Amino acid sequence: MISTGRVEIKGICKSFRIRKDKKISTWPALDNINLNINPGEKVMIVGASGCGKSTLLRLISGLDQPTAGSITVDRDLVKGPGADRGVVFQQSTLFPWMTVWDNIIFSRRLCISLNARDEQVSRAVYRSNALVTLMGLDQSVELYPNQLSGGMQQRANIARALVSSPKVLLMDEPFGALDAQTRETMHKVVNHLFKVEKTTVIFVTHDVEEAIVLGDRIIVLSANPGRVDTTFTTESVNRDEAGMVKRNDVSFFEFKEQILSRIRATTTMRATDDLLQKVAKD
Amino acid sequence: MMALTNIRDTIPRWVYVILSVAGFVIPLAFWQILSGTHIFSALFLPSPERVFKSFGRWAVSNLWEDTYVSVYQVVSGFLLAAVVGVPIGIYIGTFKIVEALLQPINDFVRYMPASAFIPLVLLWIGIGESAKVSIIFIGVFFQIIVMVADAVRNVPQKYLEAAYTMGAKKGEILSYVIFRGAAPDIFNILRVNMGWAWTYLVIAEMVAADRGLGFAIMQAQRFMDTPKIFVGIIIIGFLGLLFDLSFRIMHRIFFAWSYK
Ligand SMILES: Nc1ncnc2c1ncn2[C@@H]1O[C@H](COP(=O)(O)OP(=O)(O)OP(=O)(O)O)[C@@H](O)[C@H]1O
Ligand SMILES: [Mg+2]
Repeated sequence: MISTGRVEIKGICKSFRIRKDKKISTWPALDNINLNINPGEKVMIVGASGCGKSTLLRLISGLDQPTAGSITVDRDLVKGPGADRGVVFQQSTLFPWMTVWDNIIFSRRLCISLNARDEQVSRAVYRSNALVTLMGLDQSVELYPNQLSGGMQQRANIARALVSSPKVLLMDEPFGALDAQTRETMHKVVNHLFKVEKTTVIFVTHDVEEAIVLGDRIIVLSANPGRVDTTFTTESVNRDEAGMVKRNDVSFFEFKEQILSRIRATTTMRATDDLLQKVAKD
Repeated sequence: MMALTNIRDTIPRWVYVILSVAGFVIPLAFWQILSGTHIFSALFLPSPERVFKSFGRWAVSNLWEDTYVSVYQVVSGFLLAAVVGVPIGIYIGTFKIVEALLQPINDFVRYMPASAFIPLVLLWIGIGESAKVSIIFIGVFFQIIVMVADAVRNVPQKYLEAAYTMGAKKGEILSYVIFRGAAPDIFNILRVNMGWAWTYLVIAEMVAADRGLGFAIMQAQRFMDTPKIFVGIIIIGFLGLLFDLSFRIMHRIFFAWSYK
């Protein structure tokens, strides 16, 4: 079987037009990003707030267009959004007017025409059901999104993004709005999922521990403008028999510190004593 | 002390019901007392009792026919405006080229008072059913369009983007996301416009009709039959309330998902 989901990002630049003092200027958010992501690889993108992580993900999803450069998925140029790249956002985007089940099966329903063969329909239902069970949503399929907790909503969002078997799954801080406990549960679920789903994953997070636990490769973006600063692989971190990263291991803390120091070095936000005193005075 | 005055907080059902009834009973009692004092002549302010008797007299003559005629006109004018106006509003709120073409002219016409069109309608169509339907149509059609366009624009962009990433095409976005997402608001817009349709009906019937509740009110004025004017006004209010209530109940049933 030929593995799919190779993402090639070549010389991506993205600048935004901003109005400042009645003048329109362009502001570079991303500058010359080059990344090759292998089929099935789980790539984590970390970096200071505002460094362009979300921007990069939106470019890969096709929701925004780059100013320069190109992105290809299995040699196909990304021109716009499509079902081959599933997206999970930080805020739930489940349609409030559909039940959880209708939300999850949405993309399948789009593909299946009215005169589709039964076998096609049952295959879609089969996969949807499997994902529902995997995400622990069996009891919730008939509910509406506003009846779910935040964690359940994100699980449903993940199931929905995966149901059409995308080549690439793009996740933008999917657990950013969840509390620490729920987030840890989600990490277990997602780790399990990443093992069974061979899809390529590009995962944006500001939580370095999350990146280490879930990723094969961790990319630190620098800010102003966003560039690839450092690349780490999680091979060196010790794991238990189940292949889960040992969170209490020294290797884990050392690795985390390495990454954090890079993020700190590339942050433009400074909390110097000087500044703090200025704020305190006013 | 139970907290009944918390901002946006719910109150017990029974308190709600008692207060709503009181909202009706208090003005009624006030009216009864005022008419009993004979400060105003009965010609200007008839007692509730006389109004009720007048209702009885009208009920055995042609009240039902008048009511039926009026309801029929309101519903036809309103439905016509809704069936044409809602799709136009959806397209204006969704496609900039439709907006550019139709919104400025719609805003322009919208600010012309519908009642000012009455002479024109009479000139073109004459007195009768279609004149009334036309006036109601003119009264609510342009409003429905702007309001629906706004409702459609308010569907959060994130839902459209999510649908695109799941492979939805333009038509699918329009029907599964934009329309479904705006539907509860559109339904409420129709409810509000139904209320306005009643206003325009009465205006239309006063000048351009030979039957109906508004016409009956005008006739009663001509014969100084104040109690009947009261009955007419109260019945129109009551019908409006009935329509409003049924819209609200339907909203709760159709759009249960939009309630917390
Ligand atoms: N639509 C836009 N118009 C103008 N500037 C934008 C726009 N979107 C993003 N930016 C700018 O691009 C930069 C990167 O934004 P982005 O949202 O990608 O950051 P981020 O890394 O995801 O940050 P965070 O971790 O806080 O989510 C920011 O400086 C932001 O101000
Ligand atoms: Mg972001």
